[in-house]
Amino acid sequence: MRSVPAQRAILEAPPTRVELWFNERLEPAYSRVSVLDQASSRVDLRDAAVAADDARRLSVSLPALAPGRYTVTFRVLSIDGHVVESKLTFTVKSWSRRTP
Amino acid sequence: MYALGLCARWLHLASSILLVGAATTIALAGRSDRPTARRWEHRVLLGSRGLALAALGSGLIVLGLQTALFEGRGGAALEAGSIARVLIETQAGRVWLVRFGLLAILAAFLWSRLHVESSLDWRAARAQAMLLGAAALVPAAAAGHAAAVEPETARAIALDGLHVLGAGVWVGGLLPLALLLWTAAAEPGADARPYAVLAARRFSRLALGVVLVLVATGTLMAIANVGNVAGLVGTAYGRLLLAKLGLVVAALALAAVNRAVHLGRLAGDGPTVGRPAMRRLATFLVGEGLIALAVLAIVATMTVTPPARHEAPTWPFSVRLSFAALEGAPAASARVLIGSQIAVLGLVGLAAGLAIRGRRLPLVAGALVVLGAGVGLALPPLAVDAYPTTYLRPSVPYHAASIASGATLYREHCAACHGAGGAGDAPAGLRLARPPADLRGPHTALHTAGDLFWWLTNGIPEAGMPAFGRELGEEQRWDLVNFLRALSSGYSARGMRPAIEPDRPWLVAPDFTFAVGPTPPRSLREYRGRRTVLLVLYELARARSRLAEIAGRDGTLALLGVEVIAVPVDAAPDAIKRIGPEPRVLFSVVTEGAQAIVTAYHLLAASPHVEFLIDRQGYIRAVTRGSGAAGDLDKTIAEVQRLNEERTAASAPEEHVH
Repeated sequence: MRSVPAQRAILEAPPTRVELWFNERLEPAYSRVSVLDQASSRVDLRDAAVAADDARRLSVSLPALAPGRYTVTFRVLSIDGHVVESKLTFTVKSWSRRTP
Repeated sequence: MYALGLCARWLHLASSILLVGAATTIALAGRSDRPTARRWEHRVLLGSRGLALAALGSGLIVLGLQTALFEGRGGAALEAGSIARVLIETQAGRVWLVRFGLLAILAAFLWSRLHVESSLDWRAARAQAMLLGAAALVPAAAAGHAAAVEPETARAIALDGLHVLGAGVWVGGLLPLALLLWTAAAEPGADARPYAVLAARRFSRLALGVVLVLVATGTLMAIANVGNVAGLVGTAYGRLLLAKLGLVVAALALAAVNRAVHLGRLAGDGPTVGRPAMRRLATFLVGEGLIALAVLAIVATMTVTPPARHEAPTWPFSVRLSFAALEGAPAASARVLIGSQIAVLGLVGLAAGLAIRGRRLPLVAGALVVLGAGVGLALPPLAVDAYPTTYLRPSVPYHAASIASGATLYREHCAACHGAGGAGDAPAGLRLARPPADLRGPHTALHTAGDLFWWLTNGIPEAGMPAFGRELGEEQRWDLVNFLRALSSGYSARGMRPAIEPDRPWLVAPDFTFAVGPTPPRSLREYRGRRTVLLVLYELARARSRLAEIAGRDGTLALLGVEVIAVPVDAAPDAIKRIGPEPRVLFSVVTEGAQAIVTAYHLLAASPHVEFLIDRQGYIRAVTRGSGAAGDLDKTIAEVQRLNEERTAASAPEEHVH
């Protein structure tokens, strides 16, 4: 799979969302992703969803993240009934965010 | 839990398949008034009732276990709410509902007391059992691996459906037919002998066609699910498929003997030829049927094993065959050519030997010797060293951030021997048992990423190269592999010019992630299939006029489907502000991620100002090395137009990750 932010990315500005692309279409009902901070508390906006126009994309929105290291954990069910569970990390370097 | 799941899946698959075969065999044999034939039909129907119950019961267990897997809790298997959610909200659940419903109707139909005295009623009743069985079996394809094949999902599901239906007709028919032959061969079954012989002949004809369909659909599905030899011999799924093929070959061998020997003798003189042949055929059919049940056990395991195309293969041999080994070796090429011609000669001889009836043995033996000699001559030059990881796909994508991380690791761990530029010329390296390889050369590209990964992990003891498996994590080693790939690609791309070579994409553009000001990050990949990208690596002090030129033609570029991404080589986070009021920034100026892009793309073409033209498939097609002065943007635009005119879209670079 592939993601934005990428695995181990070091970002100048905090991302507004995490997007994951998989090789197979996902079952929306059983595909979850959450973003945890260093203290393992959940920081995402709990709106994780499989994209309506591309069943291989799973994304979740983020609030304005403070600098630090974040872990994205996901557990997805592909259309052929296989469960894939994994995680990735990214780091937000500093506060240079301006409001768009 | 795993074993229970496998048993349930096997029982469910086998009973569903046998139901189809039982109904088909009855229909194939036809209606008969002979008491023995009717008794046989009745027994097969009784068996079908049992099979329907087995299919329903095992189906419930499969559903419960699937619910537990999807929910991630064992307890969910028995919760009505969780099961309902699986049934309603997943494709596997919906397919299960359809199939279970049809199975239930079939069971009710089999258990109902029907009086089918007229020939028409009989045909309607048997056809209905056959159709219900087939309709309950085929949709399983939409819940298996075929459903995840892309592109052409519908084709894969259709192939898989046809495959299981074929299996139902062939495999499911073996045991009922054996029962009929066995009964007819016994003393009291004499009245049904002509009926049994006819049924066996009809079945044999049908089975031949069905086996051809099974081979064709099976081959196409194996290509989709396994993909290559490494997947076949190096993954759990591939090895299960090999085991399945081995058993299938054994079953086909039995079937061939049945056709060639037993079938012709059935109508022979009863006591001496016909009945013994009938008994032997029945025994062989039971053997075939048992092998087929074993095949179904393997198939049940395969359904819960991820297909090979998504797995990391472990290459089991110490060599592999590669035509790349012949590059720059004319003597070896000639040897391979001659050897292959001799082998072809041997194949022709073999075909002739099998076709001609007389003198078959000496012809075939001679042809095999010639074939062996040809293969023996042709193969050795093609063999190159291989390692367990040879066909491993990088778990870290070919991404600028990975290449940049690899560049740093290279400086820290590798440059002391391999030299700062990768030429293998550093003092420490020259003192080694075998001087380090020139990493820039094309031979780096000839080795697979997995080869490089193996050497990084385990070293090359005889050459004095140390192992880094303990020192560097897996991702770091892949970063180094990605860096080496970019380094070697850059060496090959020295000759790349501002003009494209039509229809010859080969240089893969490393992906990168970037942000422009406060907008959310984007990646190069997102433009794939949509836009051509002009990637400009600029140094502000000298490139103002060029940037102004690009901004001035903003409308034309947009019209041609070009996205301009400008990357400051100093990677300043305030790059947009620095440009100031002129030129107007009408394109993306990268404020985040620039460092990695510059590091990676400077490996491909190092120049103070450099522009890459990246086509819609993600290949770099033209490189303009300049000073940053305003040049002739018309030339670039002309190249974009040539790209837009290309008809054959190359397939996107292989970047398989899971």
